[in-house]
Parts: sequence; C-alpha cells; structure tokens
Amino acid sequence: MSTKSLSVPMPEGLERLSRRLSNRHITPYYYLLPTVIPLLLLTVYPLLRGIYLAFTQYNLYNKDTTLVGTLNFIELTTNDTLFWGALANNIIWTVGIVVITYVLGLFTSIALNENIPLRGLFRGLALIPWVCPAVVAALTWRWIFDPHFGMLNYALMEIGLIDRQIGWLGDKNTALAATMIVAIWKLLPFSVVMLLAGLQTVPEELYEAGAIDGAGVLGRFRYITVPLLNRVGKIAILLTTIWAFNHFDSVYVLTGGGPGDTTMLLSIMSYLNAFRFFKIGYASAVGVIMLILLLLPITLYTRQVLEDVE
Amino acid sequence: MNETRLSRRNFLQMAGLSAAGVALAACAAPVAPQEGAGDMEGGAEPQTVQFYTLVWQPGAVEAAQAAIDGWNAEHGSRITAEYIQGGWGQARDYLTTSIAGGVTPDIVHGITAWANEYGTQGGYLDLTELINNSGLVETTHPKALDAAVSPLDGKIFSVPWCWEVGTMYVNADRFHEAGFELPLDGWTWDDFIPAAKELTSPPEYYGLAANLTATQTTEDIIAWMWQTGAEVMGGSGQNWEIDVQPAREALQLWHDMLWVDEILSQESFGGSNTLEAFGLGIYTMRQTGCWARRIVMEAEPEFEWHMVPLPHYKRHANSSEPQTWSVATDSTGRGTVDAAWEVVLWLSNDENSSAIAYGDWLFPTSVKAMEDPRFTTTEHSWDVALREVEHGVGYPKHPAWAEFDDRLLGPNIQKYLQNEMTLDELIDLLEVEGTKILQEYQV
Repeated sequence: MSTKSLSVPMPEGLERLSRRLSNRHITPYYYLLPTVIPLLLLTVYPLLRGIYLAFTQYNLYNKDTTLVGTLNFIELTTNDTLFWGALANNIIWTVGIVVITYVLGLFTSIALNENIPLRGLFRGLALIPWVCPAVVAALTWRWIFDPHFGMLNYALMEIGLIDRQIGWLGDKNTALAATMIVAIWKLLPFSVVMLLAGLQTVPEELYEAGAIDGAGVLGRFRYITVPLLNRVGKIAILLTTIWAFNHFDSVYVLTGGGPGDTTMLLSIMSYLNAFRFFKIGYASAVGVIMLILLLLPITLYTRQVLEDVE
Repeated sequence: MNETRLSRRNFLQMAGLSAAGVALAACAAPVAPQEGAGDMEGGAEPQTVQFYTLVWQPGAVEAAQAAIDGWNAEHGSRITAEYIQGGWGQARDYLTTSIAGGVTPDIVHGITAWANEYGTQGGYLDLTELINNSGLVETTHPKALDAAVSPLDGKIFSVPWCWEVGTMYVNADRFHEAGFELPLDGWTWDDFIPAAKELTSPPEYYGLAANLTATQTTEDIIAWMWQTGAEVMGGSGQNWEIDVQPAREALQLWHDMLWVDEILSQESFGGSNTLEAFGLGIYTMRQTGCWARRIVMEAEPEFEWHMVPLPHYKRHANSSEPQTWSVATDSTGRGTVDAAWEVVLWLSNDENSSAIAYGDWLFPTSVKAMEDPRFTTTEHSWDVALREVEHGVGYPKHPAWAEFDDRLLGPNIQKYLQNEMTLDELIDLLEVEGTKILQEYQV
C-alpha cells in the first residue's frame, strides 16, 4: 500500500497556523530556513559582531563593548611595531604562493591530462596533500626541515648542495620561504584539480586544427590552452589568493611567527592579540583590515561565479 | 476529535520551523545551575568536579589518574572527580576560550604566572583564605608560595604543588676527555666560557644548544639575564618598570657565543630536536629543565651525561616556575567550589603531589615531601637539581608579562641574536615599548 500523506490528527490551533503559513508566496522561504538560519548565526552574525568589536576595546574578561571609534585602527597603523611588517609578510607570502601554486598547478595538470602510464594513480597521489589535515602536514614538514634529522638537509648534503645543516625554520633568511613551501604543497592539489578540469573541457579538435595550421607545442599552449583556461584559472587564482592571505595553521605550528617577526602574518598577529593578550577589539581590527584587503578578490570571485552561472 | 491530513507541504513547513527552533535553542545561552544545586541532599547524586591536568610524561599521567581513582574510591559517593587530559601546547588557547565561554573546568593545572594572569582578570578564584585555613602555608616551600602571591594585590590564585629547575645537561665523556671536572656544585660564567670554547668543534659538534624558537627564547635566556641582576620586569602594586639595562652582559654573551666563539649552535633557532641531538653528541651541552632527563635517557640509553647547575654570574639564578592547581571562577555558578577545593587538597597532599611530580621528573613543593629519598638521591642527578631549587626564580607576576614576552622580549632577542638589530636598539626597544605595554595594563 502506498500513501502520499500521513494521517495524523492535528489540533485546531495548529491547523489554523498551518493554513496561514501555506501561502504560496511565503512557503518557499520556509524551506530555506534550515540553511539560512545557521548561515546567519554562524557566518553573518560573527562577521558583523567582529566588525562591531573592532571599534571597541573589548577584552575577553572585561567584556566592555563601549565604542572607541577608530582608535584600534589608528593604534595599529601608527603605533604598532608589528603591523606593517606583518602586512608586508602577508603580501610577499600571498603573491609568492599564488604565483608558484598556479604555475606548478598548470604544468602538473597538463602532465596529468596527457595519456601517460598510471595516470589514474598519479592523479590520486596529487590529491594527497589536500586530504592531509593541515596540522598533521605542518608537523610532518617540521621533521622534514629539522636541521639534524630532517630529510631535506640529508638530501641536499648527499647531492652536495650544502655542506652543513641549515635550520630552515629558525633562520631569518629561510623561514618565510620554508613556511611558503608547506602552504604551496597544501594548496597545489586544488590548482591541479581546477586546471585539470578546465583542460578536459578543451575540445581535442582545436589542438588538431592548430597543428594543421602549423602551430607547435608552445603555440598551441599559448593560443589554445591558456585562453580556454582563462575562466577556471581566474577562479583558482582568486580562491588561492583568499586562502593564502588568510592562512594561519601551518605557519603557527611551524614557526609561531618567528624567528623575530620573520613569519609574522596578520592572521597570527590577530590570534596573538585575541588569545594571548585577550584584546579582542584590537584583534578584530586586524581582522577587519584583512577583510578590507580581501574585498577586491572576493568581489572579483563572486562576479566571476555569477557570470559563470549566467 | 477532528482528524486532519498533514500534507507533505505542511510537514516540510513544520520541519523547517522545528529545525529553526532547535537551532535557535541550541544557540541560546545555557542557564547556570543555582548555587548549591549539586549539593548532596538526602542521597542525591554526587557532585562532579572536573580536573583538567597538563601532566604528560607517562609516569605523571599514571600517578595523576591513580590519585583521581583513589579519590573516587574513597569519596566518589559524595564528590566524583572527572579526569580531563590537556596538553601544554594547547593549554593557553583552551583556558582562554573556556574562561571566556564560562565553561572552565573546576580544577585547572598550570603555572603561577598563568594563574596570576587569569586570576587578576577574574578567571580564577582568590584562594588566599582557603589556603590560609588549610595548613598549606606551613607545609609548602616559602619560595613556591611566594611565587603564587600576586604582587599586584597580594591575592593567591593557585596552589603550588610541584616545580622544576632550569639546568645544564652535559656530555660527561667529553668533559672527562678534555680534563674538565663536572661542575656538580656549581660554576660561574668564567668557568663556563673557557670550557665551552674548548668543547666546541664546529661543524662537527658545538659547545651548547638551547631552544631559541619563537615561544621558548625567553625561557632559555631569561635566567642568564636574571644572573646579571636585571629584574627584566619588576615592581609591586601599581609601580612596575622595565629593567633590562643590567641584562646587557647576558645578551652580549649569548650573541658572542653565536657569532664570535661559535659555542652556541645556530640550529638552536629552529631546533625542536636539539635534545635528541645532544644525546648523539652533536652538542656538548644542552640547557633545559630537569624534566627532560627521561627523554635523554630513553633516546640514547648508553650515553654518558650528567645534569649540572646553570653557570652563575652576579646572582645564582635559574628559571623555575611552580606548577599549580587553581579553582575556576565558573565553579561558583556550578556550586562546586567547596568540592573542587577538597579535591585540590587531595591532589596536593604529600603522597599524591610527590607521586605526580616524580612521574614528571620534577619536585613536589611540600618541604616534607622534598625530603623523600627519591628526590635526594644522586641517581639521575636528583641531588643536583634539588640544590638548585633554592636558586629558582619565576617569571614576573604582572598581567602585562605575557604580552611583553610574546610580543617584544622573545622576538626581539631573536632579532638581536640574528643580527637584525644592535644591542642598544634592543635595549631601547624593550624599555620604550615595554613601558608602553606596562602603562596600558596599569591603566
């Protein structure tokens, strides 16, 4: 026996409420509630609250939400000895990661798009960094970078590139680059997947036509692959930019922002102010500045996604 | 009764509204139980006290769990203690967010510096009266008790129950081969430097390794700064100041050890594994606390090492921070303060504090318990460490210390040691910016 409705007795009040709520124009919005309410509570509210707190001197203990105007922002940009250095680190870090991740991702995806032996296996292996938890990855890399027991020093000494151990994470000249390597390793699979998906949408006939017209490998890459990857490439770059700029976990685990302030990023600065010094208002101001700086890539990304939908 | 069909659309509407209601209810602030609600009345349920501990060495974990099991076996029908395992690496995040969220466990393990910081901000209860009425004042080592007293207002936010000392681990074979006596009874900077120069041969091996990573730099260098007579941050009440000028000699010494004499390995900056490398003979000496003996022994069982005091200068000082039990202010709302205090006293008694401290390769703070032969034996250098207890110095107990240390002192000492600034610039920066931080907290 099949039935399309449940036979349940309804109290009169509930029935009246049900009829009132059954308006065809209103009904669809109810179906959105289970999604919209968590979104409002877990994303929109914390965002607005964070922005509000940036204009207060809210402390985890005093919970004083008196507005102090732009005091936190003035203090950050004029008196804080860490802020400009951290911002510069963030820019170097983000640009470096985005460029290297994109270039490596492009070549890796092209290789994985070719009909090579064990292609499926290599495609699977390429995803491993993505599925590896960030902190686990950072701890593993810390061992790799270890001056005495690390694989990196061992390998470089074996092939004669260095003649003494280097403390990659402790040396001011190498620490930022070392932490960037870990972030690139972690973000690379995303670029590979995106670009590989883009490559698979390029019709084979275009390459055949290009070859007939006399285009070599580089010519086909320049005039067919690159333009047709433009859209998916832009999304990959924008998302990588956002993630790199916001990055926190691996740097915090690897160096904690040191040595000195060499790897101090805005995210770590915000964290320290919030959870070490309890200055939530001040930490929120750092977060708001990060948000403002990210608005451009976020806007571009949203526009690109909407264009794609249309 | 009127029977109405509940259509699929009605059902989905109700489900949507219910889900929304549940979500809202889940986000509502929990209602704190009334004070005393958990008290046992006429066979009611026993109160539960949460015990958050940071012990981590296997022997200490075992001893702490045994202490809790012992409590529950004797008093579980009245007060049940619940063991919560924490970790030193995550403790600050956990405590800060727990206190802010009003869900701090009743009994919290930590160190006196944290206890004063959280206590001053209202996260921990003032235990002064309870301690004064408990007999702990008479049984606890005065230095440990002093470390627990807030110099701002004289309040005590924690019960010190164990402590460690900062020491130097030395490669005994290499000392003997070079004709140096092991300085078991102490040595000075003037003794240390020539020995370290003699016992360094870079890049094969270095005289000394320390932990100069972002979070540890201060811990390893501050004792040397204290030895010059500098307080670094000193004062009482509302009158505090940054005092780093006298520490120039210590900072210069460390800089020279790195760049002039090449005694100190540059790998100290990034080395979380220099302790293991010490066991392999890559460093002749490794500065760290007495807690590390188990690791050195287990890493290289055949390795001949010894623990000796830190070299001293104008003052004999090592970094020694008592570990503590505190009672969270949140316990007041749960009505578990008295129960938590009873469990604190149980954990702090001679038997339990000795067992847990011994398992962590540390000392109890009870004067009587320190006389236990386990802590006075020459085996594993316990006797050397015990003598150093008298010279232990703790971090300044000012709420500004955490920010001064994390933001200024540690990172800028690293910069100086990596030649990013001069000593004069370092001292100026610490004084000017440090004073600003102090003023901010004093306001």
